[in-house]
Amino acid sequence: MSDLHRAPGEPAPFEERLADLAGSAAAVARPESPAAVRRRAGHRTARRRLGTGALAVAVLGAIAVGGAWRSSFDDAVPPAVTPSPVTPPSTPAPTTPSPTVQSPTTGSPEVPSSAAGTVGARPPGAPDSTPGRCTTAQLTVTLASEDAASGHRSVAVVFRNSGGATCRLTGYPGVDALGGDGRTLAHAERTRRGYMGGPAGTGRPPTVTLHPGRSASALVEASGFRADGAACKPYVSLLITPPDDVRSVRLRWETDSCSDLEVHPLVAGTTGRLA
Amino acid sequence: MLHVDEFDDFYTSTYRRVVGQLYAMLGDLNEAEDAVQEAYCRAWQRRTKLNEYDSPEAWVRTVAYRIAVSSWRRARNRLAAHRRHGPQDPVQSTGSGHLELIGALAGLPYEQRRVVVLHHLVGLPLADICRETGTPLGTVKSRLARGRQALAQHFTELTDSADGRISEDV
Repeated sequence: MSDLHRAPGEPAPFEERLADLAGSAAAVARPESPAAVRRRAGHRTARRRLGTGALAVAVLGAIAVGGAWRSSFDDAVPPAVTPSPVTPPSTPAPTTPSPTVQSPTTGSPEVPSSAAGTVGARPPGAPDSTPGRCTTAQLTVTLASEDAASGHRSVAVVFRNSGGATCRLTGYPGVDALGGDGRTLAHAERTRRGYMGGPAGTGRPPTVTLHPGRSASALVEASGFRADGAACKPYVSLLITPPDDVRSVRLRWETDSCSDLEVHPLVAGTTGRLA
Repeated sequence: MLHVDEFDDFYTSTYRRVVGQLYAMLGDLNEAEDAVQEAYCRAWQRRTKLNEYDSPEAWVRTVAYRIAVSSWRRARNRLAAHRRHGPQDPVQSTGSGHLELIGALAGLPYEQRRVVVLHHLVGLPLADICRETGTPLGTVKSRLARGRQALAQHFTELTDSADGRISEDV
């Protein structure tokens, strides 16, 4: 829509270069911390209208009552893709475990590996004060909430607990991009945040507890151009491995992205972003 | 009312993108960052109302652009910016034609440039550009057409096939 004089499939040098230029500027931008922005805004408000004491009350009030209102920020761009069901959870395609999934740094050391086998067997409704980690067999994996900006693309990988027991997920799923011939084109780099989003903060990613029917999701992003100017060979599908699991599902991703594949930590919900 | 966490998430997830867009409109990264930073300050100040806007990100972009343009019109004091950011690396030319593009964009009057960026980088349909710039459709179309015409000597794909007509993709 944005470039009408382009034959389908043909590259758009102008838009690509414009996106590339804006991306370069974005990359060297040096944002202040959000707290510093709020502080600066607050100081001026205080001087202008309120007086410091009143401002403090206002800010504390904001903190206290906040949360009731959920902004439409995450809905500003409606999902372009409706979630499509994929491999039934009971028959995940066993594939070679992706090497990036095995990283012990994102593991859950406090969960003994034997716990995985017992989780699926727990009868529905049984007390689960210490839910085990979710396995591929319990999860339905879909792609949703596709988004794009300035040459960057993102899609949320959604893990829905389709089993009968509560389980939990922590950290990063393994994400590999595959070409049309099924060969691996890229392993996603695990980053806390990227151009398209990812949870704020630092430190260990939070653990998401998934009651039956609930979802967690991780934002996957990539670029629709290559920084070195080489031809862009788009990804065709994503090979997804839940955190700390070895079995994967393959999902088709209709995209024009071809480089800088990243995955951000799992968060609750279906958008890959904190609501 | 915008909760602190929501504002922080909004800020951290959109800041760089908006800076990139403003840089494309203004051609000066320091100016772009200053204006965007200031716009987020104002966003926080009006956090009670921010949810009434369709797209808070578009609101920030619009406000940042106005701030930048009004600072062009005023006598500028850039010392504050330098104190805050220090000297800044120039945008790296990755050898994929940045310099040519920067030069081509710099040749456009800023209102034309803004419309070109909103259409071709941000990807807004004409109706949204009208809303964001507060300009009637005819003006937006003629700015886009003139901007594209000027850029067409550098990028042949922008040559309009039917004598300068902008397609109706509202």
